[in-house]
Amino acid sequence: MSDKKIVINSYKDLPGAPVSMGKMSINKTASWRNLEPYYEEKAPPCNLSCPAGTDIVEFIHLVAKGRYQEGWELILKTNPFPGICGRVCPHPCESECNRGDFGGPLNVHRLERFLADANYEKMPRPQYLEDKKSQSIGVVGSGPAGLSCAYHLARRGYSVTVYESLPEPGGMMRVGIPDYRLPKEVLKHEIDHILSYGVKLECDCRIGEDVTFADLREKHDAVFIATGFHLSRKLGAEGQDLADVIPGIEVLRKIAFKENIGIGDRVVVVGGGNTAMDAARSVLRMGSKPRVVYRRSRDEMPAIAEEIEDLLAEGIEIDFLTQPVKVHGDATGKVIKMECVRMALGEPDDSGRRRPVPQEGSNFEIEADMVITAIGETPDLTYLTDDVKAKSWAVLVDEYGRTNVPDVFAGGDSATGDGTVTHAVGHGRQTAIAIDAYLKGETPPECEKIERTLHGESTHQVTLDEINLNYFPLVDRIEPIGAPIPERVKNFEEIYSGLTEEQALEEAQRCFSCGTCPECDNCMVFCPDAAVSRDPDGGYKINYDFCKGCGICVAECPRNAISIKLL
Amino acid sequence: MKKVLTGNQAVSWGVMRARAQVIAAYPITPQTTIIEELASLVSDGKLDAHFIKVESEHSALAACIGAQQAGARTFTATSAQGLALMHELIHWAALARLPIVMADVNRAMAPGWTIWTDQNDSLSQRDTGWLQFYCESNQEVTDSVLQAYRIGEQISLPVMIVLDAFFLSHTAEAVDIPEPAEADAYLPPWKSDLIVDVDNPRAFSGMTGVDVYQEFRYLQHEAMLEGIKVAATADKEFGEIFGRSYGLIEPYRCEDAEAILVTSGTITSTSRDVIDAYRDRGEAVGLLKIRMFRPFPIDLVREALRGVPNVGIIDRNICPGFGGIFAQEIKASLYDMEAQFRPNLYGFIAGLGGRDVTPKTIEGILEKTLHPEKTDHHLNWVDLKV
Ligand SMILES: Cc1cc2nc3c(=O)[nH]c(=O)nc-3n(C[C@H](O)[C@H](O)[C@H](O)COP(=O)(O)OP(=O)(O)OC[C@H]3O[C@@H](n4cnc5c(N)ncnc54)[C@H](O)[C@@H]3O)c2cc1C
Ligand code: SF4
Ligand code: SF4
Ligand code: SF4
Repeated sequence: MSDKKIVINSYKDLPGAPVSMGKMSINKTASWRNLEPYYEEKAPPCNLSCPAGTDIVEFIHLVAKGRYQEGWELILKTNPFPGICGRVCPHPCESECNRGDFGGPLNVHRLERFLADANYEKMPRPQYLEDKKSQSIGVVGSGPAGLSCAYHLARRGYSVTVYESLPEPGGMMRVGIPDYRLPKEVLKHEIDHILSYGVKLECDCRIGEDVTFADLREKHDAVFIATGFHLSRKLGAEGQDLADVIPGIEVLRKIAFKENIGIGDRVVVVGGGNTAMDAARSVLRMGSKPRVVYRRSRDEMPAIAEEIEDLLAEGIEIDFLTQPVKVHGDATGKVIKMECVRMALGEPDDSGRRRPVPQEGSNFEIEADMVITAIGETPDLTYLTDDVKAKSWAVLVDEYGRTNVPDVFAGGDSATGDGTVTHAVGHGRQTAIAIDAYLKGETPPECEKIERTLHGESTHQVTLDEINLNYFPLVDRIEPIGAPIPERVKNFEEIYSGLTEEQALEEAQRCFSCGTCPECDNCMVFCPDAAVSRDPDGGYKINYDFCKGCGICVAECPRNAISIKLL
Repeated sequence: MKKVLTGNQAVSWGVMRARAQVIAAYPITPQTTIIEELASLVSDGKLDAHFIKVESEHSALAACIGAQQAGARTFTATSAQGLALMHELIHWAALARLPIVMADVNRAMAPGWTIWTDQNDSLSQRDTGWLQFYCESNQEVTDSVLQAYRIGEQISLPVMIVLDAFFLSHTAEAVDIPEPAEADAYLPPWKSDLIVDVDNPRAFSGMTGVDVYQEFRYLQHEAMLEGIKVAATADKEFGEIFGRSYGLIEPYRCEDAEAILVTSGTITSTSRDVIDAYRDRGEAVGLLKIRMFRPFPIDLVREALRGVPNVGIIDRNICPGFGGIFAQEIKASLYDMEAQFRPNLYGFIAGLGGRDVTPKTIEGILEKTLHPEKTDHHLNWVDLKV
């Protein structure tokens, strides 16, 4: 094929069909262009909604490619607890997933767990971000917030000591969430990994008792408080002080530490949150017959939806719209029954939920020999020095976890009340970044930039109508089934097994990879002017001498990773 | 190997023997069972081809065009509205000189909504540059598919094999299926220098200026005319290997005929019986079957009809505002014949929308041709309810 000008004098000079006879490159088709496509990765909704800032779309890619260790280590960049979150996170990422209306949301948390489980035998390669530094930070509380903050600071070279009043670390991950949902070995493994960064742990050390808060601040360059919610609200009904009226978190803590508690035969659990669900399911496993009373309806229950379903599946009944009025004891003070009143839902209250109103004359009694209260927990902040501003329910902080005092930071439940492990993890990381900036005398990066992992500048959240569904078969979400009910209620063994490798690969294939280019080559294949080619440095490049702005690449990108603009 | 096959299956088995590599089609009655059979042959591993499911006939032909341009032997099938929907790409395939083979199961156009046969769908595509063959039997269908690839690939033009809805498509007959080795010998793999070659990038079907467009049309037309010779040879060689050939047209018992009927499709086989009966009675009548409609074998037709006093042309189609389409073609072909040899022509419209054309109907037509005192030269409606 020649570059010379081709002259046609006769039909005999022509090919049989209208096919070019010279090189196409002389025809700079770009001269027609009034629209210009460009590569622009956008934000997948899952990434935008993980409170821990996990790069979900990317770890799913890595699962799909069978690169499990890399996927695991990618999560560990933001969240040291993939094995835990993969089990107990209420996965807000999945509620937002664009697959929601197309076969069901990606099973993100199970994939996260899969990566943790697949690498369970290993310790990840250390990922220090900076050199060792002389400054030290004291972290109060070894729950997910405290440990996440400690981990992210240690990776930045700081020396960190975590103070924990209980004999073992983990906070509610150890003393709240029971083994059937989160085995202790998983917790230990992920905490060991954090400790491998040189984080010092002082258990059985209650700040305010064993060490004063003032001394702690003296000892460290900065302090992070994450002491959680460990005081239980009182029942607020007559008989609340009887011996067998016990807070749910105390029951769970004792079970976690294998302490003896005399569990009754007929236990009434009051409340509709996770503590109520776990307390009821735990005593069921110890041979008792629990029953839950909750003063609103199922829609208002704050517990994680799956936990409610599992509780009901295990045969535990919930009395909705039921409020305790009085716990009756016998002459010796033993609980014999609980008197309740039926409620009706009235106008919405401050929380937006409809306020329950007692129905006069509807009182009735439930036989019981033990009452577990789980109607809410509050923080114990009595150890704080007066200069740190706090309300009864929380330490007051800004979006970075900074208190009014420069060297004191706070996060997790006791600052935000968000109430999940993943929120605590995210908060711990953001605050670690803020503490790092404080110790360096810098201002921290914009909070939005550190909260969530983005793949580029664009924060545009990709929606389902931006996905080219022609490229994605309608395949249902894969959900592992738990142990049979009669088996699970006999003991504290973990109920759900993880995804098999085959299932994980299949599930990962379902991901649209919203807004993020997995190099499918479609744009390159479809470009009618062959203007798209692979960039040797990764990704693709567009030859703007030939791109005529037809936009076919944009339309055929299955996932909106290309944008187009008017010139 | 002999098998009892419907006309549609006969198409599919022909396509299998032709080793089509890409098949894309969209279901439409009466065509559907062609692609159903092909889908089974592909999924059973009997035919090594990509079967592409598409959302319309337009996409079906588009997929074939793309695949053929990339070097694959392709096949599609359709009927009536589906064929009409393909129209834009029917032109494209021919001008891009892609020897795609398509089966059109003749179905009348809607509305009135119908699934029965007539030829208006395929005849509407007369001027697109596709070769067209009208088949009379299921055996002819299978054989014509193989011939179609052979002819089309030699002249780089697409070919349409046409068969009547139900009378052929859904009626079973014994069909002798060519042996694979013999079929392969008859039809070698397709090669072309007008296909995509990654080592030699070229622009295909791009902007074509006023300086050369007409020349491309000239080349296409010449290739069409060449098709007459190529088709004759392909038919002859087919006969040498398989013992069956059909001609481009077939004169039947035309010796010294006083009157000849011109037919196409399944009306031909019914007409053969009528002609036989008349000949048995000693009447000099004959039949001319038109198998190849495009390119139109003008010379062969002129030769066959030269000096015949009266010729009746049966059209299972209507060009509204003019008349029967086969009649038009024949008239145009004979116009410049010397006056003394030019027959009287009588056009008959029959069997539209699948109405039966029975031996009795054909006898009526033949009578009107033999005794044309009251017969219109141009257009006679047969069996019209008046
Ligand atoms: C029963 C139950 C079930 C739950 N289930 C889920 C679930 O399935 N999924 C989910 O995401 N979340 C769940 N949660 C919520 C989740 O566990 C918490 O939101 C999360 O643990 C909060 O983390 P944190 O670090 O802020 O506090 P915590 O985890 O409460 O940790 C605080 C730590 O500080 C220690 N401490 C307190 N005071 C002092 C002091 N003065 N000195 C030293 N140490 C102190 C405590 O002993 C504790 O170890 C559940 C909670 C409960 C109670
Ligand atoms: S931590 Fe929770 S929200 Fe984040 S990816 Fe895991 S399951 Fe989803
Ligand atoms: S489809 Fe994949 S990338 Fe898109 S929201 Fe769901 S998990 Fe995220
Ligand atoms: S079409 Fe594929 S390769 Fe091209 S940008 Fe989109 S995802 Fe990436």
